[in-house]
Amino acid sequence: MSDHLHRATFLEEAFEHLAALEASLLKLEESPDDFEEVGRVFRALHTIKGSGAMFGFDQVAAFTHEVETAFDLVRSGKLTVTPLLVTLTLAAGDLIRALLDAESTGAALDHARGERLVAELRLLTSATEPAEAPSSVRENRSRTSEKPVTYRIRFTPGAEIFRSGINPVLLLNELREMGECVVVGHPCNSPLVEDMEADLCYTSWDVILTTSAGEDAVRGVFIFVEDECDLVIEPIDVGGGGSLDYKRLGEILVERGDVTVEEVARALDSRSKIGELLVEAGLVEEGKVQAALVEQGRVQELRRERQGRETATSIRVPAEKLDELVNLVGEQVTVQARLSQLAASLKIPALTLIAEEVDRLTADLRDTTLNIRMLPIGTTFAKFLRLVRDLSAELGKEIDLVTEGEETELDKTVIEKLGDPLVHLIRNSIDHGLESPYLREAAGKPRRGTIRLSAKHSGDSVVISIADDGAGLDREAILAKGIERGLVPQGAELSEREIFSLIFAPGFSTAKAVTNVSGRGVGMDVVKQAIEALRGTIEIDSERGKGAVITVKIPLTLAIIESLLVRIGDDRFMFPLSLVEECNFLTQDDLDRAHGRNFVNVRDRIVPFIRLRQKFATAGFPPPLEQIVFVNVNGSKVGFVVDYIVGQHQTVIKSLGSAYRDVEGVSGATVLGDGTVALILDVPRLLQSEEKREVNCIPAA
Amino acid sequence: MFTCTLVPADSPARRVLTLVGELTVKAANDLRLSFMEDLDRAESVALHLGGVTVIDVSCMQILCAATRSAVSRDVGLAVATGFPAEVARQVEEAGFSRSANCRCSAIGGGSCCIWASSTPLEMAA
Repeated sequence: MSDHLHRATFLEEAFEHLAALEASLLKLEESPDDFEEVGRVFRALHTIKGSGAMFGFDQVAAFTHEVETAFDLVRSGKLTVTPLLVTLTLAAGDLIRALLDAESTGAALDHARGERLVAELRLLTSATEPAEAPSSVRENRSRTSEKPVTYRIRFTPGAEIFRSGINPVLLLNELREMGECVVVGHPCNSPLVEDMEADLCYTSWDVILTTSAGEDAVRGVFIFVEDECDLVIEPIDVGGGGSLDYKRLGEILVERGDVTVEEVARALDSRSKIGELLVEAGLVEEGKVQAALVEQGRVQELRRERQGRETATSIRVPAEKLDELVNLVGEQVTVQARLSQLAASLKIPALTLIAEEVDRLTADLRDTTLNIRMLPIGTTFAKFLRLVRDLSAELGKEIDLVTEGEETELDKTVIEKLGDPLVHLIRNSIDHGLESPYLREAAGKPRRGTIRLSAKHSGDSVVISIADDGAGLDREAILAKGIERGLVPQGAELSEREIFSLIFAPGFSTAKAVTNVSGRGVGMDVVKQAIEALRGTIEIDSERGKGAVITVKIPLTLAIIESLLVRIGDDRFMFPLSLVEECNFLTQDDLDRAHGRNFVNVRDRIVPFIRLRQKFATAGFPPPLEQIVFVNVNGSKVGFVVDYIVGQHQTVIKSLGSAYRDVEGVSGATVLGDGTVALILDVPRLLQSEEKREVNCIPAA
Repeated sequence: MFTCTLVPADSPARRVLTLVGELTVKAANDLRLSFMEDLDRAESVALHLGGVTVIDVSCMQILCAATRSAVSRDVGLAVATGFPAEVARQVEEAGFSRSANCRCSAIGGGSCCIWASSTPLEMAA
């Protein structure tokens, strides 16, 4: 791998470590005594520092060292986790991110900020008192090794250990707490019952322990009996490479001093199981053989696990390569459709069989490829914990963010594009939705507000909801503002949902004060556009005084969609199937009842419709009996009149060239099985432009 | 509190030894003496361990030594009722559990290990 690739890999990994660091710090803020989280923070910092230095990111390494020092003190019990330490470390994480960004983009750096942070961290760490005599636990913590090491421990306590009130099993249990541990006791050294003294210890122990705690920590367990026992601690597997095979049983027994090489050789001559032979010959106790077998088995198991991990772990592939793969699969889906169409028209049995087989393989290939790009949405959710923490402090509100469904998977591209809209929605909930603690208490609510962020699958879409238990939307204020801004005709009757949807209008804001967070009236329309660009929908429900729920529904992937193919003249169009509610014929009776207006009666409900032929100025005349496709966009039902409905189709989305990018109402194109091109309709945009046209009374093209 | 009951079975040579309570270092010598008395007089001893509530390493050693003494005297010593689960866990914790009979007590050609999972719980008639 070239140096450039090494550095790129380091950068990718460093950003992952920073995300993990931030998540651990936020958890530590909640439970400062969680030593595992302290370990995670330290390891993240340590890795960034070590790898940074290795790949020439000296500034990153030097700065990270300062923060790492603080957490080293925490690990050794000399410094406690305080809100200040968490805040400084979070800020340090941001700075490390900025340093890394600067390395890759050449952006300018705020050096003074770094110096301030270092000074504050040093002040914090210099104020620490040296710890008192460290307890064995602290000893364990302070001397951890990065990789787990497997030790062979032979513990032969002094005969009088019981008389000093020490229970050796407690020492063994302390070892068990340090890692994977197998204990074999050897009581067979005791004399016969008539010759023994009941309160003397005749037992010794062999222990195989796998731990990251380090040899000193292991030895520390025996600190109070060290002078009165024989203790041998030997590392037998240091967690590095090594072949899968471990030493033979005879070798282990010789190494432990339980038998001699000659005795093993003699036993081997008889070609039977070495352990049994040695025990039968009275050369070694059965317990010693069992201990050696335990050692052999444990080390082999560890090596198998490591080898399994090494071969089964994930590989890092640049996202562009995956995008290329998805494109190729898209091409293949198109070609396969043409093959199926050809096979159907030629009716050659052998060709039909091949076409069916290709169809099946293509479907599998498509699903597998799209799955590769699927990521859990939890990676995005984790960022919001920090956002909520910082905004809570800024606005003086007490807020809990509850997340659900982090494991829900979405296409990587969708996740990336979803981040900003979600940030905006959460900021809005915090600023406008949740009340300040004293207002909440006055309203009989708990001081702490809650924002519930959840994700779940629903068919081929993911539904994300942001629910808060705040004041809810002010229906009347929104309606009044809507009328004032000419968005709602005077006297118009709007449903609750339609009124709430007004906040998505550009520049719409009912906030009396503009804050740093929101209230400028920019944002919600951008959020809506961003969601719709993902072929998603956004809806608001709210109850005054109880809170609001914003529901975002987006497709799992942007690469391939299920769609409904329709024809208008010689042109073909696709409706995203997720929006389609039903299809019907538009009869002459329907048109007569509408008296020239574009409305149709659907089960006693008046539904507006748009003639696509008119909208796209298609040449020619419509058929005598047209068809109508009803869609549901943000809770509103609308019909689209087309010449013919061809049927359901799987569509590989191709982006339009720059010349067609601004064509209103079209989001992409696809190639059909016969080679013709169909345009994918951007239904929400079509509706918007139609609404705008009606408001401005512009005649359709 | 440890109690030990020696019960002659159908003949003085076949005895039943029932151990009850805490087998800790405080009771270790009493336990040792009980075994010595038993092994001196009987041809076979059935051990009932179901009433034991705690056992520590000192008493585990004595049970182990008693087993070997029994073999050396040609006295049949077998577990008629095993330890309760909690006590079996203490044995496991001390590293005394064995997957097979221990041959180090195989004096005189026999083999028995009180800790082996293969040791029959029911004493042979």
